[in-house]
Amino acid sequence: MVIKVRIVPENKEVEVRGGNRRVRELLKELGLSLEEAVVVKNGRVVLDDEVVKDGESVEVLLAVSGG
Amino acid sequence: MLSPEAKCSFCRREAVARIAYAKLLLCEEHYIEYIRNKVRRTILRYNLANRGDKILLAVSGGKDSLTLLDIMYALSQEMRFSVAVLHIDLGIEGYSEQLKHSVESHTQKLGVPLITLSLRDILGVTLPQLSKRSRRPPCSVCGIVKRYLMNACAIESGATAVATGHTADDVIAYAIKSFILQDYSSLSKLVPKTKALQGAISRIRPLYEVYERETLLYSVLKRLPFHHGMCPYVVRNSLERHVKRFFNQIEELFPSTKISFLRRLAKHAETLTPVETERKSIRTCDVCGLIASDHKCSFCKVTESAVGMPLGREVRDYISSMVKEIWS
Repeated sequence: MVIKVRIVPENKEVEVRGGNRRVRELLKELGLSLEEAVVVKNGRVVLDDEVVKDGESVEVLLAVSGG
Repeated sequence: MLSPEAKCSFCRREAVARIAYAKLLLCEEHYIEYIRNKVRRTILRYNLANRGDKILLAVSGGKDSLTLLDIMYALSQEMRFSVAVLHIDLGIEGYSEQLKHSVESHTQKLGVPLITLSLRDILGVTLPQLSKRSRRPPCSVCGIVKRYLMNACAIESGATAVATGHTADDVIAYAIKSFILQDYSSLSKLVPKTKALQGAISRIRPLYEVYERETLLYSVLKRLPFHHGMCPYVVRNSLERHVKRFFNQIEELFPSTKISFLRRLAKHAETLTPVETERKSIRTCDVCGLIASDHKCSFCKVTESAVGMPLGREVRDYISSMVKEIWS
């Protein structure tokens, strides 16, 4: 099982292995600080302490401006 | 483990935001109110807008400028100033169309007057063509064109100020970049409000203390129709981007560093600068009459090298005919 991550606006799909983890840990593994992204799970914004379970999908919206 | 049971610090609803520097957890409704209050306090702290002012909002269609529009519209009702929107269509294929759609959609929803200036209409060329013909990098030409059109549109429409969507992160990145390059004179411009000079309108930055992540979350929670895309010309490996990443790590470790930095910057920026030296070099353009550092402004120089003649005067006349009664 994996956690599926879609990074927006890069439109990059990443699969993270190794079981459940908190949002803050997931971001750290992606090389991001908490200040750099908003994480959405099932259409709902989630806090940094929320656990993402193995098999779930999340969207990581990057905060850096595009223009 | 906090979530998913984490509750808002002000009510019992589920929290969607942690404001680490204020030690708050907020639900959707209280987060939106919190950010709006933050902008209101910035306006009052730095005297950015007063009753009766006419503020031209520069809106690109990204998350920062749509947040600016959404909040400034709400505050204009309460604080009794007027707002109108300026959107500049740069003609970048596959990018500008979506931004324009975002701006049109939200201005229409709010009922705010919108002025769209299309480079193709006013100069006969798009930004990529202008960049190619003038042999300057796209980002440099983009900056020159946007600054010129914002200023010209504000002057021709009789606005009292132009508001841009620069966030705390943008200002900090420019400030640290200026320090790294030892360009102290640029620091004086990184204030919440620049003074009006001959040929230049005052510029205000109501999102001066709002973080980039905060505008993103505001846009997501309010379902603003922002375009979350990257400009095809964006420089991914720029010094500003590295500085932003570095400062975001600092903020995560030491919450409120950004705000402390900006408050001191706002206080000291002008005194840090050789202001007198700078002021001596400010004059007006011989062609169009707007602010310049030479006998011709950068816009007149760029258009001259790209299309064979300086177009500042013509562009001012064109804008003047478009913006009549925009504030009525």
